[in-house]
Amino acid sequence: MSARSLWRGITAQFSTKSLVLIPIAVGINLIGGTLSSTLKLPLFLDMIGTTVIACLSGPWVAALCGLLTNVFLALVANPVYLPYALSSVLCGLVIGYMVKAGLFKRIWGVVLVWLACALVNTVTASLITVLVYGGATGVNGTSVLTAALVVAVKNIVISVLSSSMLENLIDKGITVLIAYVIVRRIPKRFLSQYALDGSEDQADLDDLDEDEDEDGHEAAGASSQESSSQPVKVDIGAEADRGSSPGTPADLGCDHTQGSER
Amino acid sequence: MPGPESNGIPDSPLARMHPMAKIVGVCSLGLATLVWPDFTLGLGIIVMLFIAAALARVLRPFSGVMLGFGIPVTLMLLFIQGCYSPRNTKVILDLRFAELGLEGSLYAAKIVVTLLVFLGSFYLTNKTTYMGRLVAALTQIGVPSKIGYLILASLNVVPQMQRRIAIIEQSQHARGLETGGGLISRARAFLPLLGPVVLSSLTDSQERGMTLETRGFGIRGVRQTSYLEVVWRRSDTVMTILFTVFLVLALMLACLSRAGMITLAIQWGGRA
Repeated sequence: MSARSLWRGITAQFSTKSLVLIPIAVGINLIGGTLSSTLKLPLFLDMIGTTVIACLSGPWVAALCGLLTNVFLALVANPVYLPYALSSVLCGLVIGYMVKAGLFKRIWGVVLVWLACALVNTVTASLITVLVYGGATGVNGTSVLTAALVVAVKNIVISVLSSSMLENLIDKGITVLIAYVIVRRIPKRFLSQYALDGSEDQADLDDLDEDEDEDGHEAAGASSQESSSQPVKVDIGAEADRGSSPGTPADLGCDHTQGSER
Repeated sequence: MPGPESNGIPDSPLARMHPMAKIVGVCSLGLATLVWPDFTLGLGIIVMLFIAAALARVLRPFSGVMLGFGIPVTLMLLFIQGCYSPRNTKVILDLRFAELGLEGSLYAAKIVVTLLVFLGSFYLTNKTTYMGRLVAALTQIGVPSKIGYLILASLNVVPQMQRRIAIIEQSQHARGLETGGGLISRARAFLPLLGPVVLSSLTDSQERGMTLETRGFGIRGVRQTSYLEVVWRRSDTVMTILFTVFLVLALMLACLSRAGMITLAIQWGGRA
């Protein structure tokens, strides 16, 4: 009986609205990856869309989104990414359920989401790298790091794990932070159509968003691309500034990681 | 759903093949390489794949992908597994800082060959199949049409978002956003570029959802028809049977050789 109700809950997440969001989220994932490579950042940032959709439509939609992202990457970029679909799916589920538990409303919750996501990704991705590829895929800089660590510690599993952990902590930290900022930017009129335990979320977003509400409407209503991007951009800048000034843990974490990359 | 992919595929026997037959091929070739005790079968299959790529007139991009992936991964794995695999006993090459072991090298070769077979056959399938045909074939065998929509829509959304992000990049440039310089300033440029794309795409999706609903996307209990007809021909049946027989043969031979009843492969001095 409980299994049936769980199944019903899962299928209820897949409304047409959510289904239409999935390609968009897959696009956001890929755009994040493309942008970080055009800006020459040493990161993937390919889970922003999954995190955003986990906040909008729930864990199972996010899992499907992660799966499709990797299938798409395998189709257009490199089939090497296909096995990593497993870690994307698990991450989507973990983020989705943590958001459902209300962790995305407070800063410490966001930090928890970040750590859990980085942990899940580290473990599954390293297992895949070791079991499927024997230690290195050769598609990014992590393989070089792994090779260097193998020379140092002479153990393949440990070096894969630690290089993957370093990479994931930085990458997922920034991903979750960006997704958090984006989710708070989304106008609540838009959010309200996705029923993710609606009332509590709405109340919370109300008091978070009250001052930027008008801008959100303006962005949603404006038809031309240029005019709609202007107020949003200003908002995000203001948000980032305001967010960093009290020195919240998430921002400290981000500053720290960015410093360490340099 | 006509897209840019429909133009780029040269006509060839491989392109005319039924997409499902190709998928069966990918699985059977890959699994056969996986169960085979060493890398010789995979090497043969890779040569066959190159010939198939030449027949399908995609040899140039195909060899680009195979070499571009194959060479770095071979070097990496030879280094990691060859020098530091725990099962190394026999040393075949003494580098000054490490010793290249036979067993690890064989293991690395096996992995590389398996990966290349999967990658190559997948890439060939992908390059010679128009995505619309693949999705039509998938819905034919009973995959829900919503999944088909998701695949096609993802393929369409991404180029669209890329065009949009180019526009946003220009307009943010015009407002004085710096996208060059040090790492911090590049990282700071990330959000002003990503934010507008995400938000405008989200509002876009709302319209998409309504459009789809008015066309009966969410209707239950009705079998949707497809614009594209994919015909299953006799040659597809033949190819599918050939692939299956090949896989079964490879499985049997691999089992027999594991059990020690026959010796297939060259004895390399140690089991890989």
